[in-house]
Amino acid sequence: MGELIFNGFLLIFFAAMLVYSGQIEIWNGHVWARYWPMIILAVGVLLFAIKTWGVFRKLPKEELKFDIKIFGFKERNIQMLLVSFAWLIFYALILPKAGFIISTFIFCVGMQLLLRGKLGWQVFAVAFAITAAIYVVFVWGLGTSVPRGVGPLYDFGRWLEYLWS
Amino acid sequence: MELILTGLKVVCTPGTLLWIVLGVVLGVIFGALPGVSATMAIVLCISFTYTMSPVMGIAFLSAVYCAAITGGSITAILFKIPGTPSSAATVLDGYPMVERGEAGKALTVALVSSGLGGLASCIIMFALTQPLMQLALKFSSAEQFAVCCLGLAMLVFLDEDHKLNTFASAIVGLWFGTIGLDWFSSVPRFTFGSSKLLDGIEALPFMLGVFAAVEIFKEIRKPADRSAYSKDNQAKVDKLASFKELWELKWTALRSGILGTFVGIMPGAGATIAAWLSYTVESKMSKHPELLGHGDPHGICASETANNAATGGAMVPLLAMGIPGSNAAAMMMTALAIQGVQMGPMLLKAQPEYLSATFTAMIIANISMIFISFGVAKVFAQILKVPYHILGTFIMMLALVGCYAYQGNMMDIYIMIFGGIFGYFFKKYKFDTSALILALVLGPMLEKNFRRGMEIAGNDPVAFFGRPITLCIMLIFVAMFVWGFIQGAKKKKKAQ
Repeated sequence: MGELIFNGFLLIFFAAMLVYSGQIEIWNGHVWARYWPMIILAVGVLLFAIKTWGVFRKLPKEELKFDIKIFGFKERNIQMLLVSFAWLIFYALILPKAGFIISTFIFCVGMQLLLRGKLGWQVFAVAFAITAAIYVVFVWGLGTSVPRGVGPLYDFGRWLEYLWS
Repeated sequence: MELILTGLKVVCTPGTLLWIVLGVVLGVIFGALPGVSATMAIVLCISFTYTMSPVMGIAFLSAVYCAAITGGSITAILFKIPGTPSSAATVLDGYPMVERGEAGKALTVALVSSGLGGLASCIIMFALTQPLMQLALKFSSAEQFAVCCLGLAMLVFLDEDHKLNTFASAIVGLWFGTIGLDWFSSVPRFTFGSSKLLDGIEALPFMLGVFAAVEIFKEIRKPADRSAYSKDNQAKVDKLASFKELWELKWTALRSGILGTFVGIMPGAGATIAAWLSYTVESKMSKHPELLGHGDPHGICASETANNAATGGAMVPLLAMGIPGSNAAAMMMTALAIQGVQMGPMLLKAQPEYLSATFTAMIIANISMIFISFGVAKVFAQILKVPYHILGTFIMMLALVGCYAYQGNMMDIYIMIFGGIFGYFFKKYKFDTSALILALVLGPMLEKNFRRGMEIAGNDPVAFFGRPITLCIMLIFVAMFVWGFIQGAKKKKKAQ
């Protein structure tokens, strides 16, 4: 059922994009700016229609009934997976504000727990070690930049970067 | 000869040689770790190259590329679990040899075969690239469009069981490639008014999401059984194979090296197909086929020579025509584009030192890989004892930092997260992420060549497709598709 929903979603999405692509501006005679993606989307709609139909036909009748249980939200591993998606998005949201060091430390603690690490001092030690190692290699070693955060965190980040030089 | 000498001159500096050694070490470790593929190893290591010089970056990534394929044989032999998909065939004969107490011999055969395969492909790569470049210089946009189409068609054709899924995956990748500002008219496409999407979906962050993040998500969803790796008594790697025993494998190595290189040249066919094809050929040509699968060194030699030979083969279309022959080559292309290296026929004329650096770095990497891999194999049991929650977190962080360090842009992290979440479901529901990535990389090239070619032909499709070479290649393209789907339909009918 999940496969049917995913294929169906892609079919509807591609169809919507195909309609949307009609609005792409044709400037100075560059017609292919619109028609190239239209051709790709049209082929995509055809393929996903065939796939969706194929998956629909193969599904046993009893599985065709939509039931929220098919997503398995009560299953612990699926809950952990959804939390990991949210955790990554959380990291991306706090990174510009809190800066690399604090965000990464918090992220590493959470990620280890999601990967079945046991909560204890080791998790925090490993998170610190990973954050420090990546900071040393990338910022001090390779000279790449990382987000510094805002306010006093920005000043701290800048101070730390120039500590090496 | 001049090219090799230039290569030696630019690569044989202390800094570059150090990076090659480091690349080999990292490549072997990443390749050996189950759950980390050779492709993922390259994409994670790209982040180290942002501030390197182009020669150093090329040398480092070439070393990682060659070594990662080899690293997979270590766990395949010692633990019966291939570190990379291309080493799956090595398990068949490698592990039985370990059970017989011949772990050292099995590893020697695997590592020497890998080195020889890589070297053979470097020689063939060197021989083929320059004539192909001369030929490609004669290609106009129409011919280049046709070659890109052929590359994508091969992807679909080579996947015997899931052609429709592979084709659909490629279409999704092609569409992703259209997002952003149009190259010719600068008109925004599918940006929905957002300025952040004007640059489109960058291939590198998306690859990091699809290859690195997806593996971590899969591990969270379904933790793999790693009890085999915590064995305290890893097989002793002591008695190595003798020169006489290695010499007996010479014809297998030669055959597999050539086969692997030419399989690697085909876009879409990579090290995994090369390894299995070579193993199959060996089973047909062996004097004692009954021994294969029961600890015959010829089986290890066939698989490992071919999978490493495919690495050089995949670089041939990349260097000669700027068309990546595999996901790994696509990543190399992306990484080198960051360094300002323009792959394709002009490389020999405009930037010959980068071409020579690629050859030389791969040769040095293949030789040093044999010795370094032995060292890694002896201590590998210790590396495998690192709990996955530490390893997985480190890999995820490496991917995230690599993403941000690329352009210093938060949008790349969002693209990586999108790639990871979308890629997870994409893979779960039987789509082909390799086809997705290759199409994402080839798509813009395909469109540019098509539109440029049509403009040159005065928007006349007959003039565009009527060019002799274009017509031939397009006919092969159509024939492959039609043949592939007919075969698929026949198979389905037979199954019913």
